[in-house]
Amino acid sequence: MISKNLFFKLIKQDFKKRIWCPILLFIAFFLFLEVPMMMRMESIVRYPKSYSYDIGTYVRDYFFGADAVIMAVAVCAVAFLCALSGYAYLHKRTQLDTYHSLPVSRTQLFWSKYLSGILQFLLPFLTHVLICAGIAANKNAFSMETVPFMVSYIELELIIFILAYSVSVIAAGLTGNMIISILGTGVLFSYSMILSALKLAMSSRFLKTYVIYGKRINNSLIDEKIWCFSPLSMIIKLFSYPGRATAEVTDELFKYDDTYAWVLIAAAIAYTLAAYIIYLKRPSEAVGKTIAFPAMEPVIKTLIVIPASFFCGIFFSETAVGSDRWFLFGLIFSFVLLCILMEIIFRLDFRGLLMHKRQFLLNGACVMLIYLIFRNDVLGFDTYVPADDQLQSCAVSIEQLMPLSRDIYLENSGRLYIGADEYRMINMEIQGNPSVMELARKAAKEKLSYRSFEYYDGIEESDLYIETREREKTYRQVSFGYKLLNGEKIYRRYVIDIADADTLKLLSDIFNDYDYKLGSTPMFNSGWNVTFEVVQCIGNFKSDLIKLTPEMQSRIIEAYQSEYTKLTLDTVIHTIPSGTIEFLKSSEEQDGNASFKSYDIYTGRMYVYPQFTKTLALLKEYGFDMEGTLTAEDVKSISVTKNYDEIHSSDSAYSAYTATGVWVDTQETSAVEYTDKRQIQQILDSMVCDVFSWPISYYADFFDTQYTIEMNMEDTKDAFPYFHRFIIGKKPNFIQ
Amino acid sequence: MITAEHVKKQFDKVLAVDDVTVTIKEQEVFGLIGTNGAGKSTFLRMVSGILKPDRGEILVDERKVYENPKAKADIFYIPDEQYFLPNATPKDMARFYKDFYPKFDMPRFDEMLARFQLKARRKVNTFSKGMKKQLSVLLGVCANTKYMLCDETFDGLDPVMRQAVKSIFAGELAEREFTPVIASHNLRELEDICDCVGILHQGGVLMQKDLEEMKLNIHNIQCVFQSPDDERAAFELLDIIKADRRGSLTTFTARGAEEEIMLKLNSFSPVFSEILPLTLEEIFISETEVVGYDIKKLIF
Repeated sequence: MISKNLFFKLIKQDFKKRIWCPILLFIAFFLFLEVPMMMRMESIVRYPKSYSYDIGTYVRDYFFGADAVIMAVAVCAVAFLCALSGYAYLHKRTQLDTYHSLPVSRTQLFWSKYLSGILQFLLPFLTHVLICAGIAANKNAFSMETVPFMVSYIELELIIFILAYSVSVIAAGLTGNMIISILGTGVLFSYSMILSALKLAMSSRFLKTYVIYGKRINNSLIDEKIWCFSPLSMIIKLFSYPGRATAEVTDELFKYDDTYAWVLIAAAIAYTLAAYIIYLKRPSEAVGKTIAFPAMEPVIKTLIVIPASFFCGIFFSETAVGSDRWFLFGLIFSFVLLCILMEIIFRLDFRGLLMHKRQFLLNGACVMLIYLIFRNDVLGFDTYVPADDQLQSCAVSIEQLMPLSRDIYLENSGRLYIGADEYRMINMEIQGNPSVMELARKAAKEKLSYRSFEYYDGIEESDLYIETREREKTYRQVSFGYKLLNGEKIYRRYVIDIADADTLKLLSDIFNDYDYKLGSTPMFNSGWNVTFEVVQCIGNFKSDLIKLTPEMQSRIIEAYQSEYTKLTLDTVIHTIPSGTIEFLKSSEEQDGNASFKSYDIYTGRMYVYPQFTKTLALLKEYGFDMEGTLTAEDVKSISVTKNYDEIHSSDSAYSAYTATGVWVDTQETSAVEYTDKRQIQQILDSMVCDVFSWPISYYADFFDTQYTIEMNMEDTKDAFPYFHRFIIGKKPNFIQ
Repeated sequence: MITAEHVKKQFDKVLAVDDVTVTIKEQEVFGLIGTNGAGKSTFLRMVSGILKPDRGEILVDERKVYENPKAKADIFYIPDEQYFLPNATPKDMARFYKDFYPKFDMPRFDEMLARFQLKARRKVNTFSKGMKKQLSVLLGVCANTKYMLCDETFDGLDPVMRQAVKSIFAGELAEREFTPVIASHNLRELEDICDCVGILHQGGVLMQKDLEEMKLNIHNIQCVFQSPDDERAAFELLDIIKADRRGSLTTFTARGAEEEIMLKLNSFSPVFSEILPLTLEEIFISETEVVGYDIKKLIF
């Protein structure tokens, strides 16, 4: 009984001792909870058209939902504050001697401090959450339906707090002074994410076929093969968007994964127990030292020095435009420096810098070994292709071959975009097409890659540079996603040479595959079920927006799909498209008191070929004649600009820019205006809209990029916003 | 009773306490003397349960003290630099200790604060070093623990306060079970308060002696012998520790009871003889010289 009383007295004492902490948190939570809530509510009430939700939905789905991510960041910072202030006495001898001389067990001392820290967070947090609920209720934005959301919000933030808090307590227990504790907290909190980031950086730097998908943070910072043991990785993973791209799942963006929350709970318990054991075992004489357990010193040094050296190597290398020499310099220099630094930190003294020579040599050997493994791809990453009997299906994305925008935009809680490659890797499942694996094996065997040059003045004149760039003109990238029978997904990005007839044949087989076409765009994915408002049509001479009814939408998509799936690579290479169609979603936006409609790109421009007769007929029926032409009478004048060696000059200008930081445009222009109707007609007959020329030019070489053609219409309402190019071989003779 | 047997404590490569064996009896004031770095604080930190000995055992009333709140409940440790809660007043500190020491005597603490002219509501961080030391002692005394471990507690106290603290100790010793252990690097500080003294040097106990016993067993005598032959014969008969002669006046330190020494001395019918008072310092100098140490270099 006395013991129980003492426990609560200890908590009370701790509260009194650092009363500044809950007071500070009380103010901080007010700024993080009530203030933004009231600001957003006011904004919703003032500009209702700018929001697709009312304040009730905001409170339920955003304040107690999506905004949990932002709050999680603040909660982690609060956890560090509570932990380090609570256990700071472990780093001060006078305090430590006092507490450890008192007739109280370390167990009681630990748990009382631990619980006190949690309460210092929880009490102000709960108070503010309840105040927020009260504010919402006062505005009729809080109902019984909101209660579970609020409860799960509190639970979630509490779990995150305990996770971050316990890691910080571990750091305080493992170290003997506050600065090292703070550093230790940072390392423990993010170590698995650091490893993932390092693996990403090293793989991107050294492995030619390495690719990850998505610009979302989870894909970049969390490597599935590295155990997410650090809280930061876990928290990112908790809030991450699941690795499936369907419209339903995108709706869950920023909402946490309930099942993964249990992993966080388990981790929080495990870290708490670890903190407790460390506290019990921690010798009191550790105060003032860098590390409380000297046996851990070599392990910690190794775990810090090796990854940090590689990060420095990458930093030096990237600063020197990817130079290998500078990578090696950065690696060795930082390794030696870090080893010395670690000795200083551990000894808190400049003497004895070269102690532990054996460990220095061992770590040095590890660093060199890892470097050589990556540098020479000892593990065969780039040449790996799974055996056919291991494979369930395969996804392929061919660079610039599909008429898709680079990114697929979706409006959601904010704007989400998915790269075309990523979409295909997730959604495409090609089976039973031997050309797929044959191309993969061929590409892996050939090991082609774009050569990077270190710039120097005159490099663009060197034979090697010219020859390499010339050879690389027919290089294209192809991404492969191998889905294995064991459920594992492996991604590779190869470089292929389309000048190689065998390669082009294999590529053609893949492109012509029905599953490839079906999985290549969300337009044909019934799961997405997106409603569009308009389709933007661009022909050779005119463009227009067609408003779509659901029936019109389904008809045109059906027609386009049936024709598009029959499109062959041969057609793409040899046929000039008639135009493009682009499906758009609209959204209402607010600018002050005025609202206006804006369109979000959804699919990117999709090519319509002359063979797409049903699509062209439907478009005509909807009021847009894509194949319509102009006569010279419609055009007042045509301006033709000759671009001086466009590709070459921009290439060298860019190289010079990256090296010197000064952009010197070497492009020379000489515009000529033609007003003669006969000449205008000839030009009209020999040009094609530039909108088509850019991506298709990777495979279809019929656009002359040396000239830029701009039309000046007789009637300004017919103005066409895009410029044109000459079709190769059709340039009229009078054009110089 | 506090017993330490073959206790050893090492910090990295520094051997702070090496094979110390000490017995601190109840109801006596034990002085722990040693130079800086002799291991006094480390020893006291082990006795108070802060540090765990690497080897050996420390028992307080036959109970292990490390991680044993019951044993620690009988100990109040006053470190050389006492920790006070941030912005705390003496009253706050008393409440703090009362939570851990249920027998903490709050009325007495108030009374003693007044006696020492320390304000109960003044923030401790505005106190002088000496005032903080006084407060520490008052907190320790009022905690009513059986053992009080004081590390350099008398340093920084002015003579009046030192005397006052000593009188408190004397009062406590008379009234209840109380055993203070006082560590100091200055033997003179402890001269008039300690019953027993242990000298720590380079991590080990050089010697441990009961002061009364030592005082009764060692004497300084001044005398004038009738002849040098008498002096030689007397020195052979007595257990002489050291001797000094200036002219005909001989001063010597001898071991043994006063009566026994005087009886032997008087058998030579000296012209003049008298017993001179010995300071604790002189006793220790004499004792340690015997075992080959120049204690002046160690503790004065």
